Amino acid sequence: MPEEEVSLDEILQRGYRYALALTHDATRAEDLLHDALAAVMRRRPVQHVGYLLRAIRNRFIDLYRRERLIVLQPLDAVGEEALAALDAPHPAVAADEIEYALERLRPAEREALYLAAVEDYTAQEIADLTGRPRGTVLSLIHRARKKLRGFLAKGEAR
Amino acid sequence: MTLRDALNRHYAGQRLDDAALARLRESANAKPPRRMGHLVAAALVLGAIAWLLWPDADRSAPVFEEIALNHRKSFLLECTTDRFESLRAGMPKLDFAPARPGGWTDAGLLGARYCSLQGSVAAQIRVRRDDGAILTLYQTRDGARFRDLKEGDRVVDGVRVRIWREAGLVMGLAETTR
Repeated sequence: MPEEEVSLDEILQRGYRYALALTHDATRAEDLLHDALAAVMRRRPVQHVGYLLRAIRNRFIDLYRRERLIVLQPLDAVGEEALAALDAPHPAVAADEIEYALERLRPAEREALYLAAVEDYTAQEIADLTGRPRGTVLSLIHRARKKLRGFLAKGEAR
Repeated sequence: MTLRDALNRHYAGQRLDDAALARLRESANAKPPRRMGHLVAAALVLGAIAWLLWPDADRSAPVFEEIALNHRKSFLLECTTDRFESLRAGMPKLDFAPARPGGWTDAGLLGARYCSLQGSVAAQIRVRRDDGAILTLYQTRDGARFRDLKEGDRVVDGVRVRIWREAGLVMGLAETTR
């Protein structure tokens, strides 16, 4: 995975958002980032986002148990269209609606969706970070997007 | 608008505030230990041998330090209650039942949140003493990772920490001394 040079503040903010994608809880996300940073700093300075994201993920598994990130349900076989579908036109959504819809996703789904849509990772880069097969990553994104669209269409936050 | 746009907009609004960012920046700028190759490796091996052979090795310090560090961090209560009995229901993700320490009453109990102690899921319970001081009480399930933990009282960076075992749990009480 290519590593870009970004400022420390930007690395920390991106680490926080990834922690938030995993926990969906601001306090836990900050704690998770703090713990991961402490673990990383024992070895070397934080210079790259990918290194910190991996540490955050490992710490999340330590704290909240591996089951939270295990994919339990069978996944549909999908291809690259799972990523392309993120760029399909979608009606505008209110902030509280997307917050509520994200809360209802499983951590593994939210994580895959976050890395693809916000961090702009490729399926292979997500597979490298999470240790999942690339096909599983694409299926997770596909399922997360479908669920999210479903929740948003129902307007359940209202 | 696309779903990608909506997600980017949502997460762009989620930011560490200035105080949190400053704390983390300080941690990140702390210098990691310098690497000195074989010398370090040799020192580690010798240290490990001494650790194993020396019966009085202090293996409790990291637990005292973690409790003191957590006590200093402000936190939001995830379960607000004035009864110890209600903590179990309010914190269903714990793998143990929080217990009222012997000799304690419910007086001053404010609530609790999830935290971790040496990687174990723990409850961080906030209590207000009669004199207004805020104490934090930690509880986690006793187990192999606490095998070498010695109970006792210590002051770590201005935080008095008392650790003891009770009802199958490791308990740690922290209060600021200055």
